[in-house]
Amino acid sequence: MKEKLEKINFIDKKFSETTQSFGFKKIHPKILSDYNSLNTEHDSLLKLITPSGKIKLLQNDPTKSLLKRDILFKKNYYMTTGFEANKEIETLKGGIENLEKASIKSDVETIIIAYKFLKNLNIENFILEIGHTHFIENLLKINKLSNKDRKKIYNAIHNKNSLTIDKILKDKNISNQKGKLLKKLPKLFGKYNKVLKTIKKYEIKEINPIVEYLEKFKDILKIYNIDFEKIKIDLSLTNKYSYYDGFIFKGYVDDYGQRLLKGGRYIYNSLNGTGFGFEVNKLMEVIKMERNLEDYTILGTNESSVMIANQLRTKGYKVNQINQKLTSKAIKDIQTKYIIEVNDKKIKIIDQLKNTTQKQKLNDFTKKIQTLTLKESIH
Amino acid sequence: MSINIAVSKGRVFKAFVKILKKKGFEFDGLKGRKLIIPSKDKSINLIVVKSSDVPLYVKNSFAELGVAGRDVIDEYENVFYELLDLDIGSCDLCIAGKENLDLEKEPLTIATKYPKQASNYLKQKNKDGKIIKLNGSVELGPILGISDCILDIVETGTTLKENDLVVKEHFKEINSLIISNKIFYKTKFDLIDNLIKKIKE
Repeated sequence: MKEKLEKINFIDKKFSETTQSFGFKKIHPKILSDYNSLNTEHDSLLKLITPSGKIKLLQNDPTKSLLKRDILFKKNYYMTTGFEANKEIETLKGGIENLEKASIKSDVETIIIAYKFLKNLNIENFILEIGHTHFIENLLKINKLSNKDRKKIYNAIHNKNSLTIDKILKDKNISNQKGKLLKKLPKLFGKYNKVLKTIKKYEIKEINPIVEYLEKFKDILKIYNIDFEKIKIDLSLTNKYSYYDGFIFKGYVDDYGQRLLKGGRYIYNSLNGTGFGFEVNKLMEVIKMERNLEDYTILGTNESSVMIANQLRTKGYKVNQINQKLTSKAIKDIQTKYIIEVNDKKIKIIDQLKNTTQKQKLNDFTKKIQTLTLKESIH
Repeated sequence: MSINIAVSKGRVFKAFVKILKKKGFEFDGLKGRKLIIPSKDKSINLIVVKSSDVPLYVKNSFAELGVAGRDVIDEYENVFYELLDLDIGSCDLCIAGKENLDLEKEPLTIATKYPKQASNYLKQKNKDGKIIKLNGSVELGPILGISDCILDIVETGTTLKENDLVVKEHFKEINSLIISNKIFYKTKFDLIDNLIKKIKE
């Protein structure tokens, strides 16, 4: 349980550090909103009844809740609780929303933040996979297809159901370049350059803007000097949420069969933005956490222990003071670099990392702290 | 590295093993009560589970692949890749009720194990209705007056007949198919693709 809390703090810290280094500012999405019986979207949300009998909604999608606010920064990040109505649970969610003018540069920046965030969490084997909502839409502009056929093919592409795609194309006698590419689409994913090269071979004018976009996207990505093995393309990624419009992406790792994050460019409530979101509990399954130890834990119930803790803090150390007597087993379980047990005139210093103990006079130790410069080692 | 396949127990399991055997896979312990059965060449592990649990094993990444009927898979919209239709375990998902049932009735109450598909049925028919989720013996719905009708799979029709119910409408055909966890499909593509190709041949 304690490890779980530390992991949440670790993710929170790394997320803040990463996003802030790109100029993002923290914002708190509203959790409660008003109920409107005419809005069918509300059917899927958890409801809360106030003491006066009013119905309020508990948000499940922080992006939607955030974008309904009147005042926003241009670059926002958040960590907040989302309520899953179907599972009747609350989930800690994080994400960014960049509302600067739409450009490839801000799209690339979004994916770079996701890349650096996962890197900073010490996740080695992650993949970020890019798609584009206009790709399939443009490819399906075939006169012989009815709207119903298009919808069926669209769903089949989403599910990588080659048989259904083949059957419809055969029934409608579609064998042109678009048809050929549609057939190939379920397996057209993987290395950035390879996929791009394959698409170009088909020479379909309707998809040229997306090819050009992906070329430019790649050129800007290169500036960030990233590992291209971690950036892949899957043009069969479809727009499950109708608000995505343009590039979309998802992130996952080799040995964990669940998506870690997803995002892309969207238009919602007339706001054009780009961003991504993640569930903290999924990241917790795959992160390798640095041990974020406090420098000192001071054990003691007298005033001297308060004095030592305060002196160490003024020198820049992280100090946890415990004002109660602990059993030797409880002392062993403390996770910190040094433990100092303070008695009236003597102290005992336990070095947890080296597993050594030394005793000193209280006066000698306090004099030593006073002569230290900021965060200089005492031992 | 081996691939875990969650397979719906019963006739789908038997039919799927038959297909695998034809493609050269061999298994020990098929007749016992083992729940995980590896192939002799260790390339696949069959995990024998209840039909409605197959999607859960695949979704929650305990198995790379799953074999189950479309009736249970379609309760999870857009969660899996549908890699291959196996043409086994064929049956129909039907609306059934008492002989005198009027399907024009509104609101129409449907007892079913498949609430999502019942909801889709009502949407398709542009009907007002109510869905009652039951986990089994759904035929009791119309008999006890819990519902007007049921949405359930019909194979031979014997259970319906013995309970004085009749098929009123065929909603959709059900076949078993191989589904894949979306992430594992990417990260273990070669293994999965080779297996699917082998089964398809």
